[in-house]
Amino acid sequence: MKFLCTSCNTQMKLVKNEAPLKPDDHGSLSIRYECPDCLMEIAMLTNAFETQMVTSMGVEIGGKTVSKSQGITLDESGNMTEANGEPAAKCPFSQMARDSMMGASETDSANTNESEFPWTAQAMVRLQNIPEFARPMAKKGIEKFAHEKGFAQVTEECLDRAKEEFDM
Amino acid sequence: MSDSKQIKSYSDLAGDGGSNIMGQVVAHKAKIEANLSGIKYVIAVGSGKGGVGKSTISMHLASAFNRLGKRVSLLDADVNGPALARLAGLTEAPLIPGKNGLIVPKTKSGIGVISFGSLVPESEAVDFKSVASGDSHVWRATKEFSTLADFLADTDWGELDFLLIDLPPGAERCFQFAEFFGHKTSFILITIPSEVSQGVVARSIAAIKKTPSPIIGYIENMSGYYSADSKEVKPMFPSSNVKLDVPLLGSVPFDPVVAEHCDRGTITDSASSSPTNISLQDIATKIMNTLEA
Repeated sequence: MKFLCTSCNTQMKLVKNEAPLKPDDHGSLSIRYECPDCLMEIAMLTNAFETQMVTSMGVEIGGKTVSKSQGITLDESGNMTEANGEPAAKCPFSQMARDSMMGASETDSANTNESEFPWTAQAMVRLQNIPEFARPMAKKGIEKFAHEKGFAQVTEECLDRAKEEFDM
Repeated sequence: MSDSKQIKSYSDLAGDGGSNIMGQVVAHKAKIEANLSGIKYVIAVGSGKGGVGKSTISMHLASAFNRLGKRVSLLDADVNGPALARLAGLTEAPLIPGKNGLIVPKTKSGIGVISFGSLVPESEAVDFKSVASGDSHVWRATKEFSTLADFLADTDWGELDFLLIDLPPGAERCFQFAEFFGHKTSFILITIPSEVSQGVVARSIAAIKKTPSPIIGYIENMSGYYSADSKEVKPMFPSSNVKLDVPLLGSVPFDPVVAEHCDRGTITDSASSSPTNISLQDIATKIMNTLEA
């Protein structure tokens, strides 16, 4: 879907701001577009079907968030730093949009860096790079394994150890 | 703007203003293709008809390829009725994030299996929460396909000789999956001897033939009942008059002993002397020869 400012005959651009993009109680999203020439703003208002259809396609309004294909980089202490020049841990617009549009089963903390059991950034990157549907269960299973084996946090070493122990 | 001014059309505008939705779709498809590039043959096992043994035959064929020394994995594309996890004995398989995506759980004999049956307990429905709850008919199929696409893109399939994909029932589903997987995926169809089943399979063949995807042939499952006592195979269904316009790869008799192994998740341990297994081994060899010819 594209938007055209008919006064200027110019394509309108998505307005990215800090406010979280969340569907309302009826599943509707309000997404702002601006004409770069005359600065006129409009809002695209989706109904619940439209919101859900976009989510179901596996695409993200506002652009794709971090993934291995986007070149996540880690600093010396193992924290995620940049993905294509944007803050890697959370793109403030698209990640919020994605999280807010996903269902309860998928808005598990596996989709963010928040966890009661700590994960290193490298281990979290691995988790983010498996299919979204499998993340909550994988996260739960790995944390149980880490706890049982005495790991203080989930590290890549812990993941590799699980791979070995389960003979995979 | 005056009324006479011609406004730009969709194709006049580059991009979509910031989200790059089409770019995301194209990038995901490219990622899937790259992730499957180490797989020699992708085979979708379908039917159109439910209850004819698609999952059982898929698991048996994987075992047969495995016995031939081939590297093989299975993807259970039947999101709503996943059976491969149980058939493989992997209902509680560990899910481990590896360096290159999800590590594929394997059976003792080394057959990789990705199934929703390993992700969701059998007592629970596979559910996707939604802002459009109550109207899942609008979006559910799309969500299922995008979830399967995630599994194709974000699983570490590695180097394989065969990836077998167990499809859900539905003739139109065969068509949808043929489009979804593309022409590099070959199809095998499963039927039982009944005219009811073969009629539906004929419809599935017609549906797949609308796409560029090749059909290797069909397998007639439950072609008879094998009694270990009498060592005889007795017919289970009257013969059908429906002609299927693809090669018959072989007929597989029903052996209750092998069926018990299916329920226990020990197919790979079932006796190779059973006529069921002998037939499936022959079929696997025939499929391999066909693909490599």
